[in-house]
Amino acid sequence: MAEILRPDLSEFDLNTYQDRKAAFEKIFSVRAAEGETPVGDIQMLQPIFVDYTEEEVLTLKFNIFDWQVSNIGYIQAGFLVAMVDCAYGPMSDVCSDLKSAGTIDFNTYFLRPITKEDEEVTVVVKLTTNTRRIMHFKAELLNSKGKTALEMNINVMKR
Amino acid sequence: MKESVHPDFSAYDMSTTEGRQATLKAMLSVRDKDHPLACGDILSLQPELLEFDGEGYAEVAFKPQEWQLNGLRYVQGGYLAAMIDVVCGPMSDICSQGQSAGTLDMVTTYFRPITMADEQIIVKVKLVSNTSRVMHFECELLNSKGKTAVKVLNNIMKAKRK
Repeated sequence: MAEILRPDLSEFDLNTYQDRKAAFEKIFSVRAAEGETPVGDIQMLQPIFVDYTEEEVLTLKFNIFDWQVSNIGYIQAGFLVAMVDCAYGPMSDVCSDLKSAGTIDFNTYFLRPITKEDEEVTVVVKLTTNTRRIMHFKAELLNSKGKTALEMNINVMKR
Repeated sequence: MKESVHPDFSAYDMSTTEGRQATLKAMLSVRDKDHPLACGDILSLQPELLEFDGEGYAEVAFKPQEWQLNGLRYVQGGYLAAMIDVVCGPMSDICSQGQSAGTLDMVTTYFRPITMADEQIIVKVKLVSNTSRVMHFECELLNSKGKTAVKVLNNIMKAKRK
């Protein structure tokens, strides 16, 4: 089993935008070796890094898998939340110089279903407030037509 | 809007308490992808039904898996929400006799982390309101010491009866 679920980020100065962007590219590129069982949310959900802006907006894409489909044929709400968590979790770590201590709460609004036909969804997360103790994020998950399927407000605690 | 596709409930009588109990037990115990009640989230999360009163209260056990861990080596918050949703979803379908049309919103609060040391997680779900259009659930996820780790308030939409 891999002991470290996130790669070593010591080579990056996380106080600079360019290094934070490079750190995200490294974090989201982690994949299980061929034939090995995935360990951790990133290996399992396989996010694809798209962009990270100086305005603290992170964009990822996710493919849809059979194991995420619920009893009514939609991608299960909890797994959509897991995709957003897979984005704002590492973002809270990188944008706090590794001082993230875990999620306090989030409110999620499901506006459109995601089905297997969507094949690929986009998650856009914006860090809107970053105080000494709390980080607040606003997130959106878009279906394959670019329409909003989910909106989330998230609070993360810092050490 | 894309139509929901419900499992084949024809072998189950969801109009009686015993029938609803049997249906939820059957759904959550499916481990074969070719079973008529099979769905991806149940196969991946592997819930184990402990109790269902057939009306609106259920307790379900889960075992954390390594693919669910985040970079802090906690079970990722989204997956904990998924464990709760995998109970609320089938329960909403069964308690509405196949009218469940999807989650509207979810208010999720985290109190304690769950790690691989928590060998058994318990999810308790209570249906507190069941109107003609919306079902409201209060949910709690407990760590292996029985302490509250997550609380969720969940609204699920119902389809119009045809």
